[in-house]
Order: sequence, then structure tokens, then C-alpha cells
Amino acid sequence: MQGDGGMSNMRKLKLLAWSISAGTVVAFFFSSNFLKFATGFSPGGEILVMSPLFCGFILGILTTMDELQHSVFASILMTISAVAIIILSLFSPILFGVSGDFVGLYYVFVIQNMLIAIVLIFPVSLVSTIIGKVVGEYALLSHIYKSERATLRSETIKWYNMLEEAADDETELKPIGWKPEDAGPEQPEMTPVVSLEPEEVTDE
Amino acid sequence: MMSKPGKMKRSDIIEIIGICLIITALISTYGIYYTSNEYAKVTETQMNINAVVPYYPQSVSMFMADNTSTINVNIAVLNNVSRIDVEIYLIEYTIYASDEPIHLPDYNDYIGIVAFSGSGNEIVPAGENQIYNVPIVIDSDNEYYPKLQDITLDGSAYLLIQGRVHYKLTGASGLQDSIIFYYINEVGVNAR
Repeated sequence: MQGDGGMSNMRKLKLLAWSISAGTVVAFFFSSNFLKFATGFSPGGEILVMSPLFCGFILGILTTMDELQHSVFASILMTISAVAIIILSLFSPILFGVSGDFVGLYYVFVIQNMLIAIVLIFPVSLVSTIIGKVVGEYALLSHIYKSERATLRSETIKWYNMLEEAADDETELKPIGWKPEDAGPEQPEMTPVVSLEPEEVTDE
Repeated sequence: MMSKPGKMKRSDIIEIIGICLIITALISTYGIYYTSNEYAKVTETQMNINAVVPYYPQSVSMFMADNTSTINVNIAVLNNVSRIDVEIYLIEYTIYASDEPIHLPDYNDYIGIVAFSGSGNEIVPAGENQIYNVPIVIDSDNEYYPKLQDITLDGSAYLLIQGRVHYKLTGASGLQDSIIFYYINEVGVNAR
């Protein structure tokens, strides 16, 4: 079943799964970094840039077969899912039902980290997704596919040239390799059965 | 478009990368759960741990002798609403005494300062409370000894104690923090 832009539902589902997966991986590194005081595990500050960079790159490779807008959409979805999971992890004391008064500073901490996540993830992932897609196109596409694509491209150019010539000469368009004998017997001129002329209205 | 037998198609490679990404994401999901759970436990401990000097007669007691004066202070560390053991590594407090009621710390009422580290490894288990006896001993050669004698002439003194309990969370985090405690009350003097 084909959806919009020739993208099947299965393909859409895969794109969704990959985007959310990439977002989850990014969210893990961000959460670990933001909450290192609680776990004692810190992957380092550099990971805040590296994780969206690599995950975006992989997402770009995965969307090699898709259109560019699908890659951009996947990158946006990755950012949204990553930020959503980061917010959930920052609100985990409330979600886990910890009793106590959460003062304003707690919410400041959450908002501050949420903004850092949005500002860092979106641009880095978007750029790396596009780079990944470009690299994927060159690295993953086979020679057969490339030569096929080159043939199609040359044929398209040929068609465009023919169209231009036809437009200049005002001659009838013929397909490639057309010969006059292919045209067959000449057809009689068609005459309209019903007159298309407007009838005159006369007063009786 | 046909691929050679035994050779992997590019769509297969993409599928494999995609599956690896999903597996990584599943592992990351557990990591996020672990991080969130630890964060919730640490927050719970930080928000609920408390240190108090209980308001019952035995919690603070004064003993006056000819050459020395002792003030016993019992400090209760409440860790009953927590899932993490807490290691107490330092208890410190400042004590003020006066023959009139005290409401705020005043240098004129200053008697002394105490820092107690115990054995250096005092554990308050999760869900439990612990009481620490931290006495302050003022010898006769101390400059505040005569002042304390004057204050306690009528057999009682108003004490103000303010201090801080420094603790460390056991486990992976090793987070260090402190809690404050405060005590104002009239205390009777016992002769020893």
C-alpha cells in the first residue's frame, strides 16, 4: 500500500522506530550527564555533542533510500523523542512518587537542562543526518544502481533536448528511434458529428 | 536490479544497521531507567533526611564539676524515609548559653564549638534512625568556664545549639551533603 510520496506504511514505521531509537540513545547519554551526581557515572561533557552527531549520522545512513524531507523529519522526530525522554528522566522523582516538597530550584534545574538538550540536539542531529545521508548515498549504493541512475539521467537529458527542439521547430514529438514507416497508414481527417458552433437564436 | 549471489544488498545493510540501533536503544532504555531510579532515590534521601536534637530531658544535659563542665548533646539523624544508607562523617555544632532566654545566636553567649567525626564510618541504614551523643567538655582553664559557672548559678541555663551533620550517600553516587539542626531550650544543671 502506498502512502504519500510513495512511502509505504512499513517504511514509515521503520523510520519512526529508527528515529525514536536514535532519540533514546541520545537521551541516555544526556540523562547520564545531567544526573551524574546521582549515579556516579559520567560519560563526559563531550558526549553532549558526540551522541547527537553519531546518532544523527546513523539515522542519515538509514534514510539513504528515502527522500531528503524524510531524513529531516526523522531528525526532528529524534530530537522530540530525545527531549521527551530527558524530561521524563528529570521528572523521575515525581514520577516514582517521591514524597516531599519540590521547591522552585528543582524546576529551574529541569528547565535549564531541557533547554540545553533542545539547543544541542536539534542542530547537531539535523546537520549530521544530512551528512550521513550524503555519505550513505555514495558508500552504500551499488555500481549497478549508480550506472542505472546515470543511464536514466542521460535519457532524461535527451528527452529534455528533444522537447526543446520540438518547441523550437513546432514539429510533432516522436519517441527515440522513430521512423516514418512506423507511423502506419494515414488516418482520415476527423470531422465533428455535432457542430461546436453556437446556434443562432431567432425570435419567432 | 539484481545483486550477485552471496553478496549483501544495500537494503540488507541498512536493515542490519537499523536493528543494531534498536538493540542499542533498548539497552539505553534500561540505562535511562537505572539513572532515573537512582536519581529518585537520591532525591528522596536528600529531601527527607533530617537531624534534630530531640526535646526530651535526656537529649541535652549539663554537668558542672569543680574543674570541668560537660554538656551532653544527643543528635538524632532520621533516615527512616529513604532507600539509601547514609554515612555520617562529621557532626559539628556551636553552643551558646545564657541565663536569659536566647532566640538568636549572639557572640556574647558563645561557649564553644564541637566537631565530631566518630569512627569516621558511622552508617545510618536506610529506613532507620540513629542517635549520636556528641558532648562538649569545657575545662577550668578554658576562658568560657567562669562565664558558664556564672550562668548556671541558679541551677539552669538557656542553651542555643546550632549545627550541621555532614553525610555521604553510600553506593554508586557517593554524593556528599549536609543538614542543619537547631535547638533552643532551658536545661537544668546537674552536679557531678
